[in-house]
Amino acid sequence: MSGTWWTRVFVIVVTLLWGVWMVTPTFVGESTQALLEAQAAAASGEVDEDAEQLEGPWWLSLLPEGRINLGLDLQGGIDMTLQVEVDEAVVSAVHRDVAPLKTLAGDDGLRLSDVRRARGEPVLLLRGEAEVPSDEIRRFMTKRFDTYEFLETRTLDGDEYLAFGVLPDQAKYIGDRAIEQALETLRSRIDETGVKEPSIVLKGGNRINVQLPGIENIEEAVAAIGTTAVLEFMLVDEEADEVALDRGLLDAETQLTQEQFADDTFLSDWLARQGRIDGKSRVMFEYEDQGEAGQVRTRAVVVRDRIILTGDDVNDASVAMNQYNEPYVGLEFKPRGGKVFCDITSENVGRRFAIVLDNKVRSAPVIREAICGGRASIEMGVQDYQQGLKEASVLALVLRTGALPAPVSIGDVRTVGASLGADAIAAGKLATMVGGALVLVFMVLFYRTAGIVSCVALITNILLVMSLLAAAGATLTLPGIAGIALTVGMAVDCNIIVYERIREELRLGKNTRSAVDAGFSNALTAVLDANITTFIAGVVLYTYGTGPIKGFSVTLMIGIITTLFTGIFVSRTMMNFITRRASARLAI
Amino acid sequence: MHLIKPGTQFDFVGQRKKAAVFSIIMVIASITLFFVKGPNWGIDFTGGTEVHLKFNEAVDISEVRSALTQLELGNDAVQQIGADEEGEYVIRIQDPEFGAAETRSSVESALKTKFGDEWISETDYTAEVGARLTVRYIGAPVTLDDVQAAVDDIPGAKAAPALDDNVVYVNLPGLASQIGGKLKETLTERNFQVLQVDSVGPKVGGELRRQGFVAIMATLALILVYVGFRFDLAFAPGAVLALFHDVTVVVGIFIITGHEFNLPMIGALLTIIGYSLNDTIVIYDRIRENMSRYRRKDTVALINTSINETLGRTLATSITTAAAMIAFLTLGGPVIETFSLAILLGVIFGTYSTVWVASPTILAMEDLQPVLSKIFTPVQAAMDAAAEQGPVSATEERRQAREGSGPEL
Repeated sequence: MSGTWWTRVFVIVVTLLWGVWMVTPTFVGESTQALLEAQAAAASGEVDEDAEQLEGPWWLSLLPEGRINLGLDLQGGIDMTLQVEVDEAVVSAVHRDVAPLKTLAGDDGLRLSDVRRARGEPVLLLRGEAEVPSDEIRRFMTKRFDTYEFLETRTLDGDEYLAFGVLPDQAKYIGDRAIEQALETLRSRIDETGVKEPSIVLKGGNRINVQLPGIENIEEAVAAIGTTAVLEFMLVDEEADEVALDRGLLDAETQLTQEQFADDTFLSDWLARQGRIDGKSRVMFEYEDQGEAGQVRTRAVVVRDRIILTGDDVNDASVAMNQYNEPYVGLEFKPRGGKVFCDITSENVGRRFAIVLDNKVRSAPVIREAICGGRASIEMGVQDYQQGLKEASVLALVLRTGALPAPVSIGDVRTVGASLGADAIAAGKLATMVGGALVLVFMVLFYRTAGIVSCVALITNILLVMSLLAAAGATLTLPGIAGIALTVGMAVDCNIIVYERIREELRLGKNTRSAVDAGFSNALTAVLDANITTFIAGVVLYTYGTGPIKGFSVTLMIGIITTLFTGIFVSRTMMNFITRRASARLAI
Repeated sequence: MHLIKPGTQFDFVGQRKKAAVFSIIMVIASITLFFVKGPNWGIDFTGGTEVHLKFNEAVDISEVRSALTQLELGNDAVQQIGADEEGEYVIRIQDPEFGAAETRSSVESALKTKFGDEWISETDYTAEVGARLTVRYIGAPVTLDDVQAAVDDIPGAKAAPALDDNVVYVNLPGLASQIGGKLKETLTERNFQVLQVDSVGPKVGGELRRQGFVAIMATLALILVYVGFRFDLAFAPGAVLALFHDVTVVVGIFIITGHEFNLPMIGALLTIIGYSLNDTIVIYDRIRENMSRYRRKDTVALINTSINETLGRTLATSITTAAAMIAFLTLGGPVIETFSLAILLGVIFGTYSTVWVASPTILAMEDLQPVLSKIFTPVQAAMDAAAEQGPVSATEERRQAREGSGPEL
């Protein structure tokens, strides 16, 4: 056997070993599977104390992480549709303009006595000092904030305000951006939770469909995905009259409907109208989880309605332990955020600031000294260690991946039962075995020894397709299986084309060895062209298609590569071995 | 084992006129069926709701149907899945506003009876997830209990508080529970469970249909370019025509058999394109090879020889694949039935179209060559230059050879 032949054998053996190695995690048992996952979690730095106690066989650490995942149609999982509250995104975008508007007005020498956000609508309310004509304010807005238009004059608490609304085009732009950002944020959050091959698809309008294959715990999924995670730092209004507030809250409870009372913004406005709190302050609450009763308000905090810092100023968030071994979330600010935090805390020593997450006060600590290290922390306030740790990890995760630009409401959560898939898989497996066996039998029947070679090539082919899918961590769906079926068909055809060609060459009177060589080289163009054209179709489908069409095209493209490798390279190496002597005869 | 005796010479191309008539009839019939009867679109494309039920025992489809008649879903709405003893059915409702009018008026009249005719100022019905009727009313605020009392007689109706003044929500059961409830009422002695509920918005369906169409068209266009580049411009239309033929005919067959057109069906059609393309290219390759080997032979004989030479391969591949697909069809269960049937049809029509659509198109293109060359000379020249061929294309030589006026080479 020539040197090149040995080289080819070496390449094939290495490839096969790699294939077996890649595909092993997909087929090892459940318990081993869990061990692997624990290892992966430990490797990625997640805290999982179980991982240390478990000891697998020594070879486990050698196995790769990726494996073939079954799609929702085959294994079940959670399928949920989220609705992005686009209107609220627009409202909060408008509200974020309050601070820059004040700064710019200062720069332009325009004296405004008040700038505030209107409740529940994308409108800014401006009030100038007594001597400032309203035309000047309107000119300033046209110049500096051309995405707004003047709406009307409104009277609030006896004062005249100019109301500016955001232009419809701009509102639509903000809304579209919000949906895009929501998609991105969801994607990175789900990626960080380690769910394999989730599908996150925009489904017309403002709805996003999320599929989490193999995940069964709805609550955890909803917590990680549905949390808006808008983090805000605000100063506590130290001048607020606690007694007036308590009275105001008692009045509110009796006079407002339940829904209105539960709405913090509505409640704040109402209390301000009643003169219980200052017009520039808002009342917010600390909440406590009380099992079945859900989240219950525990303490009212009056805060200055000005956001000092937001989650955007946070660079990193991680879980840490304090000296009492209680988990908390440590925040690291971006340089600008760190500086603002330093300035604010040094100006307000002795006062309190509030850390507000999704309109709920997480904590309101007293500022003892200026905090200039660019760090802050959020205590969990949960007694149970495990519970606290879990909550801290989720919170750190959502803060790290950033806030959703708008709240999402979970429209439709459903778990796809794996039972439906189980029957289908069982039937599919049987059919695949029988179908595959039939193909092998026919090949041996038609082509004898060469048929056996093609059987080996086919099995190698399927192994390689599996290992490449596993390496890519791909999800196998029904259309994906169709892609594999097509691949197998083309692989069989590849062998048949070559064998028919060898027969033709034999009929021309060539000896076996040169007929095999001529057969392979003459059939090459046909095989290549057929596979390349189909590959092109695969690329187009991958580019234009989504979901199932993509799944089909991925397995098809992978299959074409492995078909060329096994059908040409592996088969030929084997055939060369069989016909290594010039006198060799081949049953074909 | 030799399936075909070496040296076999069937006159395939000679039958091309008959085949053309057959193909044209099939394609026209399919297109007519498509527009007249229309495919049995699944909710993936139309939007709507699908409820997948499983009875604990065999239940006749007519029984399910008659239980559902009161819902007026139409005759096509119930479909049996798998064998009788499985007792599995899929009920499909395509109208997203299904039952809206009826539910709406019953809630409205219940509220009017209690609060007076002038009480309601407007109502709004949405059925995104479950159904909800938003009622805006006139006059003093009412308590939820009062509203609940008013709608108590409507099954599943629940009053819910709204944020705004003078608004109250009435939440209503979604389609799946409406259907489940109706079946439970009628089929009291039967036990069933809901396996799966799927809902697709109408907008999404339209998008998907457009996307599938764009994908298939782009595929065809690129294949046209590749085949034109690798083989000859005269070859390209045949390959695309054969693909078009196969997809159209199979769609026609699936319309007749009443198969549901859903996302897996798209996968199946793509598979057919794959098979048909593979088959066409293999025979094109042989024609190309023979064209350069027998430079003086006329195209009809040349194509015949090529098809006959590759006949062994064609049969071997078809038989092997068909055997596997028949195993899939009989054992694979309902889910992969569509796939296996599609691949089986793909093998049959892929082979047919290669012999009688793609190859004869080469002949037709040659006849059209003088006309086309006037239009496409610049393109052809560019192609030839890229393919490093002479100024006269291979087909042009063939055509000249056929007419007996070609240069002796």
